[in-house]
Amino acid sequence: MAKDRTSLLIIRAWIEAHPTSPLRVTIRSTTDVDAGFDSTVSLADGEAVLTVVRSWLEDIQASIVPPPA
Amino acid sequence: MAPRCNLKLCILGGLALHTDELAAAPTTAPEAQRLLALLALRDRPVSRSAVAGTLWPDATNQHAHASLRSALSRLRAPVREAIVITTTDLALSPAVSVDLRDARALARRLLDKCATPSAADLSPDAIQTLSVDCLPDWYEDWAIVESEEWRQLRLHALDALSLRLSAAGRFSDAIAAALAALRAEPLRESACAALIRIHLAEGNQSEAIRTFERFRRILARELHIEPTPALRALLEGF
Repeated sequence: MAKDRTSLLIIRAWIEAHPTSPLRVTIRSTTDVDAGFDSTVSLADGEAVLTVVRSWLEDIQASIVPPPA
Repeated sequence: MAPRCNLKLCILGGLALHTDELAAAPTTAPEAQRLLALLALRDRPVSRSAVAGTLWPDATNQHAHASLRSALSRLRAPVREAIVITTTDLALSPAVSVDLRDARALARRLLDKCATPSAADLSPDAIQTLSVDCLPDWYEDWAIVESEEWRQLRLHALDALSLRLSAAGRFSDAIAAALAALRAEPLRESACAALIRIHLAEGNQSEAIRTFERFRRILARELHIEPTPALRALLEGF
């Protein structure tokens, strides 16, 4: 039986008093917590955050091994 | 055997149970570690149902309870002595001190503007306590949420501590506290502002400017933005 694998993504977000870019986000992610976090990125744009989350989901889906036929 | 009087459970920086005899008693069984960590984070009696459901979230209610009973039956000293087990609840023994409990109390005293902190609250040990994450590398939902709560509390407490130390003229310690906050979150502007204010209070304009420039470079590299006008205003005239 394939071993269960846990993926995790932590988004820390806060607001600074910046006139044009108040959003601050750091994202830590991994597709296998047994291996620890493998990525940390900092962002100031909501769309970029969505891109990182989407990419992380795609990485998880790409790592799925199909069951033998 | 009489219960031990002094057990210290540390969950800041990692889990360790200290006894009178041992610097760090081995708590290798994963279930024992998770049980100790959960009870330390909750810091109150927790119902068996809640413990079972939290530690074995994917199991049926019946299996989760069976797993809990099995884990409790395998507990050995000193872990067994650290936990009070009743028919309904589990809790840490009153003989157990928890470093997070003390650290939370420290943080709240520092954040209370009406409170007068003790000498220990303003000591290098306090800075060290507030510099450590809770249960790093623990990824269970219940551990992550509580650990993040501690992280936020300690960052604000470090800001407050650096302000208090600076006001007391203890600039070196104030800088250490502000740097600890910046290390935890290099993009947090309040920590950078605190550090700049301390350098200015000390009359060290060049270090204040260097700190600002370093922060400006980090923002440019990581986020492609400039510091806020409020941060820049701290250095107007220099």
